[in-house]
Amino acid sequence: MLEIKNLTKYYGKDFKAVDNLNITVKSGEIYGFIGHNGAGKSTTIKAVVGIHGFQGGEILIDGKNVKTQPVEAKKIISYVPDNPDMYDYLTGIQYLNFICDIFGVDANARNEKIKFYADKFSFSNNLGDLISSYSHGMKQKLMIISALVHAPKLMVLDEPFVGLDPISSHNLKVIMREFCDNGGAIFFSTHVLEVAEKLCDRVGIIKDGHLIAEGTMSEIAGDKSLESLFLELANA
Amino acid sequence: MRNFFLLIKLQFLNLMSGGKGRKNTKQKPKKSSVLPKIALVLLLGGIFFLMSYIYSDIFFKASIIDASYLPALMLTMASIMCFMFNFYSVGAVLFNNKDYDLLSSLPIKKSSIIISKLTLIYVASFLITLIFVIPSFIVLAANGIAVTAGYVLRTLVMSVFAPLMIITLGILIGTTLQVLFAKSKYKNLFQTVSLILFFLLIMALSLLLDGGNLLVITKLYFLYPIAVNGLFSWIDVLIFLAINLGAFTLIVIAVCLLYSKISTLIKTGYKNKNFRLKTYKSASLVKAVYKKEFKRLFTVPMYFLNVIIGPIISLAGVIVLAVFVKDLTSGDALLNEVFTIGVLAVLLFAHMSAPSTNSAISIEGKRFWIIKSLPVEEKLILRSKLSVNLAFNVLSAIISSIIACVFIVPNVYYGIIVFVFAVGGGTLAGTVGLLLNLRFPKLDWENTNQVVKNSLPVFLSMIIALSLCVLAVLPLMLTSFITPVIYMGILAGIILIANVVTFIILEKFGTRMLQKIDV
Repeated sequence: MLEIKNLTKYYGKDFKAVDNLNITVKSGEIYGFIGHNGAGKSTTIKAVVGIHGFQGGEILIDGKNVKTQPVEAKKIISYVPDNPDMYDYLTGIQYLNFICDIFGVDANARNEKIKFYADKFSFSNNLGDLISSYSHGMKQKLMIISALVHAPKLMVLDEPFVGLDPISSHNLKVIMREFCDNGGAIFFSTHVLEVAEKLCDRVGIIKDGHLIAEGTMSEIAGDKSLESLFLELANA
Repeated sequence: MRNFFLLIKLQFLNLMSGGKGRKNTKQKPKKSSVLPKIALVLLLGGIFFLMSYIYSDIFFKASIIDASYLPALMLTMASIMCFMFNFYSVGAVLFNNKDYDLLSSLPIKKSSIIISKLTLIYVASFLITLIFVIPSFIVLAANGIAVTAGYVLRTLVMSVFAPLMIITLGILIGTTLQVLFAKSKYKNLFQTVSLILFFLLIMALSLLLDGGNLLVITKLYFLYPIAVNGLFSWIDVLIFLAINLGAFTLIVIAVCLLYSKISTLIKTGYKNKNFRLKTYKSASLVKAVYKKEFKRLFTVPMYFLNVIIGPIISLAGVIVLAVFVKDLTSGDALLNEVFTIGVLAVLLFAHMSAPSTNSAISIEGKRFWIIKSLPVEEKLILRSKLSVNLAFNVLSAIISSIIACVFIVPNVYYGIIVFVFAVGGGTLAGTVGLLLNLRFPKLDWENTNQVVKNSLPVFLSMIIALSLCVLAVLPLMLTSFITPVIYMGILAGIILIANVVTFIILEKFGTRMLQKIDV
């Protein structure tokens, strides 16, 4: 579903944020992307979703090249960024309708999905309010709902659990698992290693733009906790 | 005091920064990148200076007031102009900041926060006032009118304090509107409409007070009589200072006392207590993108006002000129031609100085990731942004041109030139504005004022507009060397060619430029 091949991204002439990165995420898989602050996680994610360009390599989403077929690739992904900045002048429901219009979700189907996910995240009563009045967590919920309503094949999430209350966090984990069980794929970054341990089928650890470890939990951590492994690798 | 200067420094750094976008944020900022901005500001100031010198000269020669009152008249003009440009932005600068939470949690006095936020507006207003006042001294000196050092000093002292009243009125109007509509779902729309109505009221008042005579500004600016007396008496200068400083101090105290309450009220905003999910009508992708663009325009008051003021001035201006001034020139061919050239320059400036496109990319701000990550063609994004300019700037240019052609211009040839200047100027400004914003995006802003009024593409658009205006009025100063009608025809041709060239550049490179913008 997602193939990142030899991805290299520079900022300016000298600073290499991501260096020759290779990652594959299959359908039905939750892939956790872990690294220290400034390791290159968000850079990689933004390259995948087409926000950043990149200097080397290629990224394929369900066989579609992000550089040569950007619109086709974006049609099957949804993205939740690390900062929930949205159009403050819209209400929650207006934003969701905007997203649904872009992805061509028909009126009846969108209504059902919005209701379903809004109820899941206890957000139904807030949809009529202006986004400018939302707290950080509420904006995060809205973004997650907007990522789900148009039924993508690949979800790309940058620290999606930040700001969510415990019930919403739990519901999101359940939804993520169900999404992959139904054939979707998820590529997400997180700093919450316990979540990564429990949720992810495979994990990749990035350090200073390089992938230093990758595999299932048992393959890379063995008997150790992910935290211990991460600390070991980070200090190496 | 130290904290106050730290806040001022922050404001200045933000103004001077290139903003996140094409710039490499991982490298240290290069000091040399500040110099081009300063050079641009100086160039803009130079052009304004030249224009205010021309106005001073015209007023002096027209003998509409006592020659010794000229600096007071120019100070009045500057104050009115600053008021028109700033009366909404002051409220927006104070209350719609993303750094509100941060600053409120720090051990900094509220008065320091408030005054630091107003500092840039004050500095800009003060500089504009100086740019208007100083040429009047040059005009007086050039015409043999002796002025004393005390006269000059009194004028300059009044210029230092004059912006304070403007800022005070801006705070009053801006804050009132923010508070009145804070809880409304359509607060931005109501604020925008209120401000436009207020603006139209001022224009209507100016017509009623003195039938469109220029001296109406002396009646609108209620401190004019004191300013006139202040030219000759230090006591009146002190009265002028006391009124300005007193009003400003009172308003700052009032805002300090109510700052938290007002900010909380604005932040809380609209809550729909009885929301029910209903089936919404779906729209096509193209319609959704265009709708988003227009909705933003109508719901960000600062952005809308900036875009609409040019068309309003253009439309109102041609109507007023056609009804009240045309008759005064109709008997004299030369005067008629001069009047027509003046109208051309006004139309050009009105439609070129503030296109929506010069901040259309920057206004996305930290939300730019949304449109970049969605399956939308870059060309569609660019076209939707151009369409906003077409809808307001160009449509009003067409209407203004038709009115000018029918009621003002002396012949068909000038009619064509008017059309090209207004409509061609409007479309050119749109394309150039978008190219400038693609080249110099500023996505990391704290309030919309920074991007709609204080960003590099905005300055550059203004410079281009003013430069073309100066070129347009050149025949008025060089009548011995230039045949106006031929000269204007050549200028119109240049505008047409520039339109074609910039459009081709946008089509060829716009997509790539948009892709290069990092979020």
